[in-house]
Amino acid sequence: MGNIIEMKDLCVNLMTVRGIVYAVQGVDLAVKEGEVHGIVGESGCGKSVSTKTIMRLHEKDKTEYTGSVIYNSSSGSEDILAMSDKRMRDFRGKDAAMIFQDPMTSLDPIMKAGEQISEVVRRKRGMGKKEAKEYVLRMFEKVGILPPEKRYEQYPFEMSGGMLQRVMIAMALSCEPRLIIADEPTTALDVTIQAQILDLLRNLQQENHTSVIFITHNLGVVAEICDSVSVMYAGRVVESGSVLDIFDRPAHPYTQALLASNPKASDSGKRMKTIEGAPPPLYAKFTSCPFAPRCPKATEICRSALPPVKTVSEGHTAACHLLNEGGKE
Amino acid sequence: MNGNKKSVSKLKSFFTVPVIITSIILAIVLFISIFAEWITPYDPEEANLADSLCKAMEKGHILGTDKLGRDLLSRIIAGARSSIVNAFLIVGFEMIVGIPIGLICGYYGGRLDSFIMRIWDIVCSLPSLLLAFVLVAAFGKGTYSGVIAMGIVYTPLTAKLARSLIITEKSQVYVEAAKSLGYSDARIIFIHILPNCITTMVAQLTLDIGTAIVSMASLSYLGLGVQPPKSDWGSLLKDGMTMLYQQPMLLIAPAAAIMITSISINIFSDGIQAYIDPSQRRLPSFKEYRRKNKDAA
Amino acid sequence: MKYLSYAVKKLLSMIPIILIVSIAVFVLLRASGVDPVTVMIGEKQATDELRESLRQQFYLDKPLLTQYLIWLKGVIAGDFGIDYINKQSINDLIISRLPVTAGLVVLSSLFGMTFAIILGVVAALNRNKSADRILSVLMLFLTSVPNFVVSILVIVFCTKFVPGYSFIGSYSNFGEYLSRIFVPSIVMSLGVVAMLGRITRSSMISQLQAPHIMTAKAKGMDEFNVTFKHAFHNAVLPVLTIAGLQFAGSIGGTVLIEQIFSLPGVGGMLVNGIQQNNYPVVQILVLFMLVVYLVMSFVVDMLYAVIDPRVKLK
Repeated sequence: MGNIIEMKDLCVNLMTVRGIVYAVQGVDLAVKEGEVHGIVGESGCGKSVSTKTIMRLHEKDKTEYTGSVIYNSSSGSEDILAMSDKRMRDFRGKDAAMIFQDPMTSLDPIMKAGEQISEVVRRKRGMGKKEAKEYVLRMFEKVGILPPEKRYEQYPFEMSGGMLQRVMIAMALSCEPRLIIADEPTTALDVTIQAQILDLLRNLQQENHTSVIFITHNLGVVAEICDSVSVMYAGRVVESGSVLDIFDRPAHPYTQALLASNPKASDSGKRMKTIEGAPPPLYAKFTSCPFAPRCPKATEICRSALPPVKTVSEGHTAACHLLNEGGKE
Repeated sequence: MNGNKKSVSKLKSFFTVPVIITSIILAIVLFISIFAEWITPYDPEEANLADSLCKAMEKGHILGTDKLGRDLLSRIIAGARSSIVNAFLIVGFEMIVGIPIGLICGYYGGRLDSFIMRIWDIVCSLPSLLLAFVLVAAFGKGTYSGVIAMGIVYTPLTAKLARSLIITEKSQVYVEAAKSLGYSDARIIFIHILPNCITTMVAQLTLDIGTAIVSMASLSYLGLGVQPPKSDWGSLLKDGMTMLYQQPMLLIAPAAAIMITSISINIFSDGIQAYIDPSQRRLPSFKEYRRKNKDAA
Repeated sequence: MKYLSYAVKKLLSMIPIILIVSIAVFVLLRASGVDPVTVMIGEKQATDELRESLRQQFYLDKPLLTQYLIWLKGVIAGDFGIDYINKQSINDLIISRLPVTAGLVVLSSLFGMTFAIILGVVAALNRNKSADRILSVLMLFLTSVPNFVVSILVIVFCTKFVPGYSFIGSYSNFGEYLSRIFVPSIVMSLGVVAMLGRITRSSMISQLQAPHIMTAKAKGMDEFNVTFKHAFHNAVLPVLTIAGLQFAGSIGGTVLIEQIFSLPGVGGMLVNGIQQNNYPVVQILVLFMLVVYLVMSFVVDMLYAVIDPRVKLK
């Protein structure tokens, strides 16, 4: 199976009130066709920014890109950053769709839930009004929005968070895209609802063989739903590999610390482990390992040079000075 | 050291070019109205029929004279005094009455609050100009009834602003802390909470001075405010209206005085607001940002 | 059905406001200490008998409460009384002067609304570009320049440079009527344009940055659809509420405009009434303007409930 998305040395700079933020600083990332790829990291590590780049959702005049994001389809490879606006509109929805973190604010508050999806299929798939409505009702049934006829007529403020996230999922699936980007889709929901939504996503993904990029800071969710994982820290990918690689053989000190701070049932009674310090601000480009100030194993070289990406094993890479090729520390 | 430098650059961001220009204009207007008696070239109320309707720069009258031969420049300067003083009186009234009422209603809430707000709603249900007319009709026309009427019209608005500010502030942790230390309510309201709301209120009150100048001028224009022989910018306009064809300067000069003052106050208040709320500032483009930072480095 | 009961409730809640204000106005006017009989007689000499008969004719010998009740009964029956100075029926006066005032309110509201929304949206879509900056200077200018000063400058301009154009004249047909109130309406709408334009701009900007706009873009809707169907529709709702209140309040603004342009409207009548202590006229006009204001805000409320599904009718 080939890669559906390949980011190559992607950098994204954002203009903010406090100056330029170098939110993404050279990300290499590949998502295989048909897999669920998790992106994990603390808030502000660039995981959302890098994936929004796939849909080019940043404000044009406040964003700079360098590098490339390659999209492979049956009709060949394209660089997303070089797509025309027209092609981009087509790409959004049909090739890739997005599910956002907060379903309460991510739907138009004064438009009926059903119509927000019907609007998409009418425009994208050329359906008539009646046909579109029937299609939306079938989608609602499929994602568990019951009873569909009643829900179709409801406004977002009349629905619960879980129901709204199902609407978002139905909307994302409505044009049968090849890639779905789910940006922390369960963070804003109750724990019990989270499990339902995850199950739904997993089932739909397997049914349609859709590729999914799943962004989260919750390692438990990653273990449950993902096939492969990239760990991000301070605007770059520090480790990447299959779920087993990351959870059983973490190579990067940051991944190790992250896993150690994830509480397990067997830890009860023990003091919770945390990572000392806070992630660095992104107002400058790094010239040394960004994790070095918090890393218990840091040495001189970590503080003076950027770590290169090293292959730990087949399909498992990490960016750390302390690693030898082949994964021996 | 570092902190000092930062506050200097923060102040610098307040003094943008428009703010500097308008502060200078406002300072001049204030100066003129404070020292009006000493800088008027002629007696503003003294008629001199020999000099009736002089054109500008004629016989030593810089802006010319009106029908009774009174020097227009002197009348504008004297008008500035009464327009500005009245505006400050109006705003002073709404501050002294409105802010404490708003603070107390917001802080204590409950029945007193809903009762007063109910009255306010009724007062505000009349369009503000209409309310002012009614009050002037009741008090009799004249400068002070105009000032009081305008003060009453704007008081509910000031009170509402103070109330909404204190409602957001009172749930803050520092208020709880002050309460747990056993401070009196008055101390908490005026010493702890008020300073935190002051910047927003200052921006609003500056704007209110502008509104007060304009509203008082409209009352005087209608003949319900300042009465002759005293004059303010509004009554000067009214006088000028009768000489519309012969001497348009009599209209243009007071109109310009009102406009310049009002625009300056608005720009100045805008500057305060932009200073308080930096999120409204314009972001530079990447190019501009890099150029600027290169200069700095 | 739910609209109907809501409407009835709203309308009923206006009655106490109207009553309280009318009592307050009645009492305030009497408290000013001017003797109505002197107002009626004016400069002329009058015998005590004449004074007494006038006093009786206008019920001024009765206690204040009785006077109020008599007045109120008349108003409810549609008889607004007789004015002190010309001894004419106030009903006729109002009816003859109403078209000008109504025209001013309606036209200026239409102009204000249209220009404000267009300019606000244009500014928001060109945020921080030169069009936005020019518009924001214009808006700042319009907010700070008082309406009545603009009117005066317009009059000066027209008398100097537009020969043959006059604001004073006959109102014999609709064309004349329109041409008389057209310019004053535009002037009246300027302040509203500035205020609403600024609100539209900031409302539109915050909507364009709202998460649901990101969703609309992500689902591949085109720029036009995103901007107008999603952003504009949401942005215009708060603007409409404020606009409604502004227009309702503009009934007060007509007073100044009519006075400056010498238009024969209700507002001029009010100012004259106040200046001459002609209480019956002041009383009824204040009440009339209050009712217009309340009814207009009521209509806005109802419209809002219809166009915004989130508004719950209580």
